[in-house]
Amino acid sequence: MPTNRRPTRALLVEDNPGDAFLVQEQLSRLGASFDVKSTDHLSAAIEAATSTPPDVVLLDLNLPDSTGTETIRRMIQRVPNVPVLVLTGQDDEDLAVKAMQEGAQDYLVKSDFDRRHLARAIKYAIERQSLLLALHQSRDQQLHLKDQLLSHVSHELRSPLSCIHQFVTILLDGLSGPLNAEQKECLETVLKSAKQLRRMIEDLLETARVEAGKLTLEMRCVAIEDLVGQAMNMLRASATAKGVSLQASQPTPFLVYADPHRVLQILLNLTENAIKFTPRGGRIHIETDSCDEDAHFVVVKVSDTGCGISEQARSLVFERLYQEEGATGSGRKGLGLGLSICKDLIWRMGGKIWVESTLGQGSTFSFTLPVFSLAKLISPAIVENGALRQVNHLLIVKLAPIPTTSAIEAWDKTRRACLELLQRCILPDKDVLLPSMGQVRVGEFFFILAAADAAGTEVLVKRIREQVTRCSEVSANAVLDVTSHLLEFSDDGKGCSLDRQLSGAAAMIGNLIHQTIKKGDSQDGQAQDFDC
Amino acid sequence: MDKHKILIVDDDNDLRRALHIRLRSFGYETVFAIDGVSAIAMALKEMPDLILLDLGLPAGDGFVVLERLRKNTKLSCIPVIVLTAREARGNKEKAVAGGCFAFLQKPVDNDDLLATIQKALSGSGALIG
Repeated sequence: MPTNRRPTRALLVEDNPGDAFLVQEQLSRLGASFDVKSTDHLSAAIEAATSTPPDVVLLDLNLPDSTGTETIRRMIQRVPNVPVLVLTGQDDEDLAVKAMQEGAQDYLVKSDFDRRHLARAIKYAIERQSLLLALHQSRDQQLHLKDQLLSHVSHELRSPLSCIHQFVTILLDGLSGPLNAEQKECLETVLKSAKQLRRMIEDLLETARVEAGKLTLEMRCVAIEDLVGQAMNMLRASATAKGVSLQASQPTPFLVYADPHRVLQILLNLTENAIKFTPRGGRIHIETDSCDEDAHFVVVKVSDTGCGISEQARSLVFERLYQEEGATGSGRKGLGLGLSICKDLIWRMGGKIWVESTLGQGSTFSFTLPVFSLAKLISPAIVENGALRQVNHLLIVKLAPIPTTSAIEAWDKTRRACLELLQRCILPDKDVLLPSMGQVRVGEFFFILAAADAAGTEVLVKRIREQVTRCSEVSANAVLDVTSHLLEFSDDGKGCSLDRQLSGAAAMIGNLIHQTIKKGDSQDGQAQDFDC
Repeated sequence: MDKHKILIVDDDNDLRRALHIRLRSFGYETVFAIDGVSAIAMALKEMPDLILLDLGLPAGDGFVVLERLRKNTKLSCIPVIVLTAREARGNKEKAVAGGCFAFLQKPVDNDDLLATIQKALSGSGALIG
């Protein structure tokens, strides 16, 4: 190690004092080249690493507040750019591989290294991490350039397209004199093509966004039937025009955990495709049901009686730039981006998408979405060492707009700013900011499940209030009211399995949230019922 | 005054003409500006009831025009509808924050355009995006 450089800052996370001493001892013998800080809890390590990032983290996997590869995941999630070197007592090849898959740079068995070995491993880990970082940066830069290029090109394409659209509609509406039937038909074709072109430009931009990682999802608790209904309303006219029937069915209402705008986008895409490939007199059916394979998912199926997809094509339809031959109608192809965007969106929401088809008889596109489960969402906050924490708090944050003439979008911005602010205030490792579970007519409620006692909750409330005064976007447009509720989970459930206890806790929290939304919206509210 | 007057600010000659024909068919009077500087001058001279503003303009970006309109005591209460070929992402938030009434993207559907203009002129305040 060169002596003229500053010492390598290492953060040692080790709960066994003997082992910690040993590692520090080994490193100190290497002279002044290491500056070692030591801690015995993951939460403390994350806090230390976030405030002053070390050059390397030496991480034991089994700590009082985290065990196994989960420890690596949580560390890397919070401090992604610092190399993590796993130090463990277990000489376990499988575990080592898993550790590397989680993003660890190396895996050393405590009984099995000397100081030179350790020093070299640290040096290489730092070097590899910095190469990786450079690689990521260069990739991000390229994607950014591509995003810029596409954004620019689509702008330039939209301008002349706008002119075509305007003048064609001027002619079609007879503003420049009457048209005969044939002229009208010609112009309608021009208009249809202009609309197709517009759609393609949007797909192009969307794809660039997905790749640049700029696509954001806002996961909520949402009734899937509402979205199916919206999609049906938007597409009924074009189905009727094509002479294709469009129907939907579902045995019971389902609540899913998903981004409603994106799900609608997917439904529109699949249904539009179905309309496109189904001849006159055909049928399209959108069916929602619980997933046979896994009860934690809902499956939505869009079936048509169209031309079907060959076996060879079935494996390709979700690939980017794949285009199906022989669409009925104009026979014109799209860009081949729609289904690949759907696939990406579904994947990001935790589901999957697939197709079944018989040539000449029709196709069924199916996708799954996770069922909304409060129990699953709250478990990181309220489960500790394999049991429920006895004392937690539910924070209810009410955001009420200051009456102005401001626009709907402006309120949306305020809402988002508030959401981000809350996200910053909580301890992401422990507390859970719950997704929206119902709408009130005025303003919005946010719910935070804080894994904290009264004192800890007070600190959190104070932090939120401080942040609000600093964030003008929120404080100028809205009034924030924070209240905290003590949640006590009784010991009665102790005999039950953890899952049973969790769902009991979820039911209690769900009820409280439900009541709050109902009360806050006593005039004709639309709070949704949800199962826990 | 019977007819509402709309100032169209756009550097695309063809589109200005198309919008003129379209807005005339809706029963509005139109006046024009082709860049940022003339937009303000024209607004002061004509005192329109509404401004249709493109974002990509020579001599002063649309956002600059929006800011100057909002800061001018004579013009600050005229509703502005942004009509642009630029992406909604980023630009829409910025335009709304800058005080526009609505953000429409080119090519715009004529029904949407008319509905938005009517809302802006009725002074209902709330925007439908």
